[in-house]
Amino acid sequence: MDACMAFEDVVYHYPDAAGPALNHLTVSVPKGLKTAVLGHNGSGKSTFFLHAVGVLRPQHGRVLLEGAALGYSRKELAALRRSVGLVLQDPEQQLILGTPLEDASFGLRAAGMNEGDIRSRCMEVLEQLGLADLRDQPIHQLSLGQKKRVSLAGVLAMRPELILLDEPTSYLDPLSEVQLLTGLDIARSQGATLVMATHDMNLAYRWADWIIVLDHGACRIAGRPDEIFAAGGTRLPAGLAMPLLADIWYSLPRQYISGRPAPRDSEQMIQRLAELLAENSTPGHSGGNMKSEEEEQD
Amino acid sequence: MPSGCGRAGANGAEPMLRRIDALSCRNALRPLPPLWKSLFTAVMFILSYMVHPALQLIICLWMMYWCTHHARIPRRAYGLLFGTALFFFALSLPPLLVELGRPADGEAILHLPLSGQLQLYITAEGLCRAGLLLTRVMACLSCSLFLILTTPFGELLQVLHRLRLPQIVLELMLVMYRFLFLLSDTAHGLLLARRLRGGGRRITLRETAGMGGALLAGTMRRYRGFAQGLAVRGYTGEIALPPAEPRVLPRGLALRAGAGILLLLLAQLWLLQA
Repeated sequence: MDACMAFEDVVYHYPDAAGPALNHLTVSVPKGLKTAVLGHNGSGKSTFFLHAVGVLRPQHGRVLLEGAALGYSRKELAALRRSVGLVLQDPEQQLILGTPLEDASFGLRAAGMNEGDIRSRCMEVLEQLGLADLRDQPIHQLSLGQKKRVSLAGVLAMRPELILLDEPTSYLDPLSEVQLLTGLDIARSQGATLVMATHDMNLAYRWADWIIVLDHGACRIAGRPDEIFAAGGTRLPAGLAMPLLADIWYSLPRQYISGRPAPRDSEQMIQRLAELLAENSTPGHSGGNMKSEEEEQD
Repeated sequence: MPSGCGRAGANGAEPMLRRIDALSCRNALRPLPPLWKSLFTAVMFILSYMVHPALQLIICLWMMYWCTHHARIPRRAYGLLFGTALFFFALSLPPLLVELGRPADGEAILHLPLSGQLQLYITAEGLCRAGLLLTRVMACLSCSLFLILTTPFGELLQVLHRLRLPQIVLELMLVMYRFLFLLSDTAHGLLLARRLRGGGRRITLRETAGMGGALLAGTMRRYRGFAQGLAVRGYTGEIALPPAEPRVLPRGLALRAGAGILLLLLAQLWLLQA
């Protein structure tokens, strides 16, 4: 699996902190996949992202984008921020201009694109995110969900290869979450690699193709969701709960679920359970992997 | 707060800053070219300084009409903003009007003996001076409100950019304006937290100091976050402002403005001769 971005033995220690925020972190972000970064508060998720966009510089180790180590000159950073976009947790931090249309165009104008292309690209992104009607509204008057989508629009308009999202769904109501995830799906369909930091284990399980679990600034575990959650919560750091669907699925007896892909959403779960019930209730069914534990003991 | 229900209008105690911002974006004169509105305001501002007090009052009424009739700014909101600004003028009235000492014979129209021959008194001249200042303040204020309430801040910056104001000044203005809302949000959050935790109407000095400290800390945190956000968005040392969109000035409005200015000038000439 090709790595879009890789951290090699990265150490970062904030001046006023007791321990390192990143502690010899070595991890890769697979290209073209949707990756969820999980970890409790203070596990280093935001610091990881700030290193990925060159806002913070490793005190030890290096960060690679497409196999090349990041450079930190002004020119290199400008180029980096055109290919890697970061949506911060608090949208207020990254909304700069007065209206969604103006704000979405900020990065493109800084990159020197012509005004005609800027407008058409920004309008396209605002429409994709359901913000076209709000394009000329003052930013200050938008709701949090709308502001989060505007901050995502500013990043999507740049069409970066890698999009990092720091807890994008926190404080959002279900409708705003769906709208935001729809925007991400569009970016994914255009070939972007997505990385989302989240505390929401259910969302991570449902959404991600790849999961990275950070613990005290180091990578505790990385892999496909079914690999990580198949062992129950034993491989997770303290404080991270199993996603509900995975918890139910992997609580079923092994002989029932072996060979079946784990359900990723409630519809798939219902389908799998229906299949299991149907197989189990077939008259004259030989049993096979559907034998109850009692029968096995007999 | 559910999505789609913005802060504006969410409660009755909407901060004035947000109210002005909302009105400037949702008024009927917004589609007019911001440069034209700025020039019109500048001309009216100059006239407000030059013309007779009676004409200053006419300017005030005319600009109010532009705001409430043409721009469809709600009268109540306009009155509140106008009244608030005039309140500051009212605060400056005592030093303008009241004098302390011994007035000459017939000089004082109102007086309050203090001790001996020392009196607090108001003269006709002081009253006249305050009246002249009031008409000028009202005229200038109505001109300022016309521009502020009909033109969003971003468009004003575009005008200033076109007038070749240095980029660094524009960037500072933009960041300061954006930051005013962050500051207002932080202060609003602190006051709300105080109320929710049972804080009464009276605020002690200790509480004020604590809230001031928390406001500073919160603002600094937001400032650092904003600086980080700028870096993340590809800030290269210059915030490129969006260019002004080409807009059409309705002929009727332009004619009305021109005719009004002409009439004011003629009236001023007539008053000078009279």
